[in-house]
Amino acid sequence: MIGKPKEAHISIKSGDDEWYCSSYSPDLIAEHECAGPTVIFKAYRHWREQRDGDIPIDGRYNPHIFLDQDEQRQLLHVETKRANPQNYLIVSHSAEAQTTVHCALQSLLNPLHRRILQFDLLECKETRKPLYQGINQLFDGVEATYRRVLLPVRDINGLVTKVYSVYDLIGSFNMTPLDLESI
Amino acid sequence: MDLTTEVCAEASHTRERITIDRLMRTEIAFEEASGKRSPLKSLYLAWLSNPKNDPDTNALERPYLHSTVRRSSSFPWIDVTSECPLDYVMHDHKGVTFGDQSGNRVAECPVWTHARWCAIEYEQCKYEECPVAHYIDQTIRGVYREYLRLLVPILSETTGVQKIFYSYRVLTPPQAAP
Repeated sequence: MIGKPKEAHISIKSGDDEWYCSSYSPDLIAEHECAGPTVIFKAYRHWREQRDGDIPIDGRYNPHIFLDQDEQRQLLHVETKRANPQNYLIVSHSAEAQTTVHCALQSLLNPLHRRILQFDLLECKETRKPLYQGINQLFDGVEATYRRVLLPVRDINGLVTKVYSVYDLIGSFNMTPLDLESI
Repeated sequence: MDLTTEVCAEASHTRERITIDRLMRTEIAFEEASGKRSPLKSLYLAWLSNPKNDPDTNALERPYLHSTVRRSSSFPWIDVTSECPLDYVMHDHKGVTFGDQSGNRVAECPVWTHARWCAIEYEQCKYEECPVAHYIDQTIRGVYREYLRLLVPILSETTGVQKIFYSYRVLTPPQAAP
C-alpha cells in the first residue's frame, strides 16, 4: 500500500450529522481484500469483465448471478434515467423474500445523506467510472462504517441508466476519515 | 451551518456555510475599515430591494454601477433551469482560477471537486430559495486563495428559481500555496 496515493478525503459536518469519505482508485479493490473475495471484489471483477466499451451494457451486467443471498443484501442499484437526480429510483431486491423495493432519492429523509448520495451518483454518471470509497457516517444518530463501490452501466445508446452500489460493512465507527490501508 | 473539507490530488478546500447575518456583519466591518464598498453587501441589498425578484427589472444590476469595485459586466449569474445541477450554465463568469467559463456547464469546470461543490451550493440556493453564503479557503493546482461568496436566487412564482446571481470578495488574493 505504501506509495499508493489516496484520491480524495472529504469530511462534512452538518448539524448533528457527519460524513467522512476517502475515495480510492478502484485498482486498489483487489489489494484491499483481506481474507477471500468480498462482495465488492466480486461485483467489481464482474463489472470489468462485462465492459463493452468503457462500461457494461445494462442487462449483461448482473452481479446477482454469482452472489449468494447474504451477499445480495449488500447490493442495490439506482436507476439514473431521469433528468432530475432527485427522481432517481433506488432499487433493492431480496431474492430471499422475493421482493423488490423502489424508493425515490428525494424520499430519503436525511438531507445530508440525500445530498451526498445524489452527488456521488452524479459523479459516477458524469465520469462513467467506478467510485470506490471508504465511508464513516453518522446520520440521525445512526453510525455506519463501510466500503462501497458504485458501478455505472449503460443502455445501447451509451447513456448511463443504472448505477450499482455494493457495500461491505466493516470495523467500528470512530469519526475520522476512514483509511482502508490500515484495516 | 455546514462545514466541508476535501483534500485530493489537484485541489483542497474548506467550505463553511455562514449565515447572512454573519456575512453582513463582516462586510459592514470591511467597509468601515477599508472605505471600500463590499460587492457582497451591494448584491444582498439589491436582492432585498427587489422583493418580487422580478428578473426583468434589472434591479440587481443597478447598485453594481455605483460600486467602487469596477468590472466590465454586471454580476455573474448561473442559469439553474436544468433539473440536473451539473448542467447548470455559468454566465458572465470571468473566473480568476479557470478563466472565462461563460456558457459552460458547471460539470465542464476543469477540476471536478470544484465543480461538484459549486453545483451543491447552487442547488441549495435554488431549492432553499434564499441567499446562501460561504467562506471558502481553497488551493487549486498549487494556487491558494480565500474568499467569501454570496448566491442570491431570482424567484418566480410560476417557474421557481431559474437564475442565481453571485458575487465574491477576496480575502487572500491568489498566491502560491504555502
